[in-house]
Order: sequence, then C-alpha cells, then structure tokens
Amino acid sequence: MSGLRSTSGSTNGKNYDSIMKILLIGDSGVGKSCLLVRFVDDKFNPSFITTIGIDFKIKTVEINGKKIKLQLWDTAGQERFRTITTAYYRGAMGIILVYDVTDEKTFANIRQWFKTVTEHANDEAQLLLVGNKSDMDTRAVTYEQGEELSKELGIPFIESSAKNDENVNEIFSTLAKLIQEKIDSNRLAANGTGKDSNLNINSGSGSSSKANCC
Amino acid sequence: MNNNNISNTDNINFRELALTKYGTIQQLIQQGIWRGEFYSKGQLTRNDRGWLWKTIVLHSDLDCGPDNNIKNNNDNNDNNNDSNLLPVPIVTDDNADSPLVGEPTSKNNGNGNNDSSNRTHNNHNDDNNKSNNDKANDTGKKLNRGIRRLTPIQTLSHPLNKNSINEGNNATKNTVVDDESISMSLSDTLDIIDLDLSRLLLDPIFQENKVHAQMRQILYNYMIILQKNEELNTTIKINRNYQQGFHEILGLIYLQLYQTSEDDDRIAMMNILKVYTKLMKQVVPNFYTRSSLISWETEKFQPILEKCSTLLYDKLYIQNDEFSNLIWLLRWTRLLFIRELPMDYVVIIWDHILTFQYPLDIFMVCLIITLLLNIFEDIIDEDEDADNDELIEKLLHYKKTSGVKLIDCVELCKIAGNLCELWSYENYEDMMCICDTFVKVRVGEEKFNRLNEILKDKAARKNANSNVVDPNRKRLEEKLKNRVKRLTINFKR
Repeated sequence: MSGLRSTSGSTNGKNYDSIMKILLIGDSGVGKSCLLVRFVDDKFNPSFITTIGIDFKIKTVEINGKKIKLQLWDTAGQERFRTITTAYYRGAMGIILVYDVTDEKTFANIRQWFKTVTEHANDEAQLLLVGNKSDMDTRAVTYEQGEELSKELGIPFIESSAKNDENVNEIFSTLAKLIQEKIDSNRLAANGTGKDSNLNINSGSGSSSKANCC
Repeated sequence: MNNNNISNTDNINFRELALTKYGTIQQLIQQGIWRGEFYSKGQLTRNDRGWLWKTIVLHSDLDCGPDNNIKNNNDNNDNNNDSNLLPVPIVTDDNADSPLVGEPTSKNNGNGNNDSSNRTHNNHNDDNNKSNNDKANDTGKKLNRGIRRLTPIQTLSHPLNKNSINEGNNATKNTVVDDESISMSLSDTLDIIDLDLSRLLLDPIFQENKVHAQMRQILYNYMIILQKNEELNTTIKINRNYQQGFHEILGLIYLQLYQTSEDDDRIAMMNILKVYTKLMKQVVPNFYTRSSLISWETEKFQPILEKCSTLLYDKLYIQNDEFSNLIWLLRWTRLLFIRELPMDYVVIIWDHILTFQYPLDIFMVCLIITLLLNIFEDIIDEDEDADNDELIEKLLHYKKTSGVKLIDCVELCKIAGNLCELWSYENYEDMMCICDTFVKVRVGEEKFNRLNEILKDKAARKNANSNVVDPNRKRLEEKLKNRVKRLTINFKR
C-alpha cells in the first residue's frame, strides 16, 4: 500500500505541483495545534483552543522549485476513535510525532503513538519525532533522550519551540523534503518498469471518483 | 465582573414582554422561539438568553402540562435549590488514582466529599470563592509536580528502557484497550479538565481564576452525576469519562447563565449544572460514545440524508470513502456547532435545541442537512480535480465555506424542524421536495436538473455494468445448456 501520490498540477489550473498529506499526533497539550498555527499563520497563543476530533490546515511550500501543497491534519490528543483514525491515517505521507519536553509522560507515550502509526499508516509514510516547548525552563526530557529515542525508532528528530518560532519551519520543510525524496526515488524505480503507476496505486477513491464522474 | 452587553432595564423589558405575551411555556416555545418572535427585535442579550434557557429547560421539568404558567414558575425559579454542589476534592497521593465514583483504591473515599485530608477550609461557594481559587491553583501546581497523564492508554515502561522493546512488540495485541470502558482516575480527570479550561477561548472570562474554579466545580459535579446516573444506562454502553468538548458546551451555557441578575453565585452554578445535565443527557449517549456515534451516522444521518437529497448523499457517501464523513461530523455533533457557525447563530440554534421538541439525534441530522444545503454548490463541486480531502476541508471549515450564504437562522431551524416531523411521519416525498426546492432556489433550476441528469446517467451506467455477465460464466452456461440439450435429445431417442 503506497500512500505516495503526486498530483501533477501544471495542467489542471491549480497553483501547486503536488499534494502532501501530513498528520500531527501526540498527547493532549504538547502543542500540535500551536506548531501548525505558527507554521501556517505565523502566530502564537500560549493557550490554544482544544482540538476536537480532527482539524485541517493548508500551506503551500516550495521545494526544489516545485510548489507543494501541504495538507496538514491535526488530531485531538485524547482521540482514540479507531474508525476515524483509520480514515485519518489513510494516504498519510508524513507523520509528525510530537511530545512536550517539559512533560515526561508525553515523551513516554511516543512509543504508544509509534505503535498506532505502524498499525494504521502505510509503510512508506515518512515519520518525524518532535520535542516541542524547547524554550521552557522546566525541561524534563533532555535533547539527548529525544535523540536516543528517535535513533531507536529509526526516525529523524527535531526540537522546536512554537512560542519562540524555533525550528518550526524546519519540521515541515525537513519532512516535505524527505517525502519528496521518497517520491522521486519511487518514480525512478517506477521508470524502470514503465509508467509512474506505482505512485498512484493508493490515490484512493479520490482519483477513482474523478474517473467515475467524468 | 461587568456585563457590557446590556443594561438591566432592557433585561426586564424582554422578560416582561415574554411574560405578558405568552401565558405558558409551550406558547413561549412555539411562538417565541419556533416562530421567531423573540428574534424580530434584534439579538437577545446573554442575560435574556440565560433567563430563556432557565425558563424552558428547568421549568419544563416541572411539567404541569399545557397550563404550565410561566409567571408562577418564574417566581419559583430560584427557590428550589436546596442542594449544594459538591466541592472538588484536593488531589492527594492517596486519592489520585481513585475513580470519581465507586470503590476508591485508597483508604480515603473518593466520592468527592472527602476533604478530611484537606488543610484549607471547605470551599463553600459563598466564601467568595477564595478557597476555590486556591484549590485550582493547588492542582495547577500538582500538574507540574509529576507527570501528566492525558493519554488514557499508558505505556507500561519507559521508552528508553531497552528491555521494553520486545515486550512492547509482543504486547501489541494486548494494547487494544477500550479506553471508554476504563474509568479515568480522579487526578487524570481533573488534569484534563484544568488543561481544557485553561484554553477555553469562548470568552475572556474563562481565564479568570474565579470562573475557572466555578467551571471546574460544575464539571466535577457533572462527572459525578454522569458516572452515578443509572438512567442513562440504557441498552447501549455509554462512555462515562470526561471528554474534550464537555468543557466547551458547559462554557456556552455558563456564559448565558452565570450572571442572570437575581442569582447569587451558588444558585447560578446550580442552574448551570441543571441545564447542562439536561442537555448532556442527550448529547453524551448519542455523540460522545464512539459506537453510538457510528450507528447514529449509519442508521440516522445516512438514511435521512438519502431521503432528503440524493445528490448530497451520492457526493458524501457514494463518491466518498466510508467513514471519512465522521471526521467532520465528530466536531459538528460533539460541540453542537459551536465551532462551525458564528456565535449569534449558534445560540439561536441552541434555543431551539433546548426546547427539546424533537429527539436531539434526529434534530441534529436535520440541522446538519439544512446546513449542507446552504453550501450545496460547494459540496457538489463540478471541479473534476477536487478530491475527497478538499470536501472534508470545506466541511471542517464550514464558517469559511458558507461565508455570507447562510439563510436566516430561525428559518434554518424551521426547515430542520419540518424535516424532523416529516421523517417521523415517514413522509419522504415531502422531505425531498423541501430540500430540492431549497437547492433549486440556490443554484437555479437548470443547474439542479443538469446535476440530477448526471447522477441518473451514472446510476444507469452502473446498472448496465452490473447486467453484463461475466464471459466465463456465459461460456459455462452455454456449455451446460448444450449438454442438457444433448441429454434431452438422447433421452427422447
């Protein structure tokens, strides 16, 4: 099951070359929504409204001269709705696991989140571990601990502060670049066999519905 | 706290008007709310609405039949509060892991009356809420004392403990724990309540210590009611844990009721709890329990939508992934539109909801369908490149999608009410007629007909496809036929 999808946009009149679906997961209060708001709207509010279920933001970025529309999905930390999470994880190309460096428990729960990801997401999804609130004095998880866990899980790691706008853009640009690399290498592999059909294996009912309603 | 909405004289005028105009609560509900007479003179203030909600929700509980007189009830209004809210217990090492109700895991009882270990004075609300604030702060400190447990499912070991890796992998099957059936502990419940209240942004007053403490106490008391209440224990098993969203629904009620002029804090809090409890009695079993939300969608939302608008049904359920509509329906239903619509809209819809004229599960379906009809042209996007996620995005950001296109809120509620009624009479024809007419007016008859033609064509094509017999099967049939023929011929011979 390949969630990697590249939508060629030059002909359809859209102002982007491809779409990437990215999810943010992690415990309640670690700052998932704050990271998103900082990245998309460049704003910060110390108390950000509780996410109920799932929310959604969009930002178009440019990588290697290509315009990429990032679909950023934000979940409620408390949400354990399997039926919904299945729909939510479907087609995810990048998943950001967030913990709060001032809160050990949120760090400990990363393993649980990782497990959820491996259950629901497709194997090709690019993961990224993020320790948020790095600006705080009350740090309970060191950078080294975060790094160690990321090595163990085999995924890249970034510490960030949505408040001070540190490393927030890096989270999304790093992830988008890694995803783009995967897409490109897949395309390379696909070119060997012919079309880039590999890329569209799991474009889901989105594209099949297009075919239907033409 | 000053209420900048309104002066007291306006307040009294509205009530006097309501009291002189309508003899009974039923009249007030039918004419004032459903016929929209209340809204003809501009927006209701919070105080007016607080009074209105108290009147229609609390007094209709007395249920004296159609002669139920508002005036008398109004006089009784605040005098029947003989009980007090329970104080929120201080979290200690002893009671932290206890459930809110039932057998405590420690030597102390965890039922909320336990203040034996409490150094501070028992927080009666009349104590100017000083001690209440202290308590909120105490617990605030507790948050940082140790580890917050905001995730119902917990890891059993530290992630950096190498030994845990194998165990973790082996335990995969055992980790599918139904967190709805596990009672959240006292400290976990209070922690997440505090976290949610600290970021309740409906109004700036929620950042005040006193308001935080009051909201916290009301929520705690509601949790006790929810966990004890056998009445809710119907055929389905409901989730009795605190869930994110509870706080926001309470917040909206609090905003209307906390300062109705004649109430002191204690009575106001009691009234808020009562209105909240009555509303949540329908909200929690329908929308905050996953299995019932799923069956609400498949057994109510989908069939009613199909009867109302085949075009919308086709777009949302035939062309779309299964379950992906739950993504937006979840917040729409759990917050009763608080995040989806402008606030002046939301409160009018809530006026209608709180009349409890229709079962909430069906009324919500009809309200949602009516709201979808308002953005029909955005949903039935003819852009062939639009994908599923774009549709979900539009629905998750309804406010932005609908913009200024929304019809008058009272009209919207009326249409939804009519749909409810027709559904209960199984008058599907009229349901469809209402919805189709609405859409025709919005998008024009020509476009409407064109969209329907496309849909019919598609259905016809689908049928045609299903009539095509598999060639292998056809060959087999031919073979069998020939064989039977041969046999028959042989037999005749």
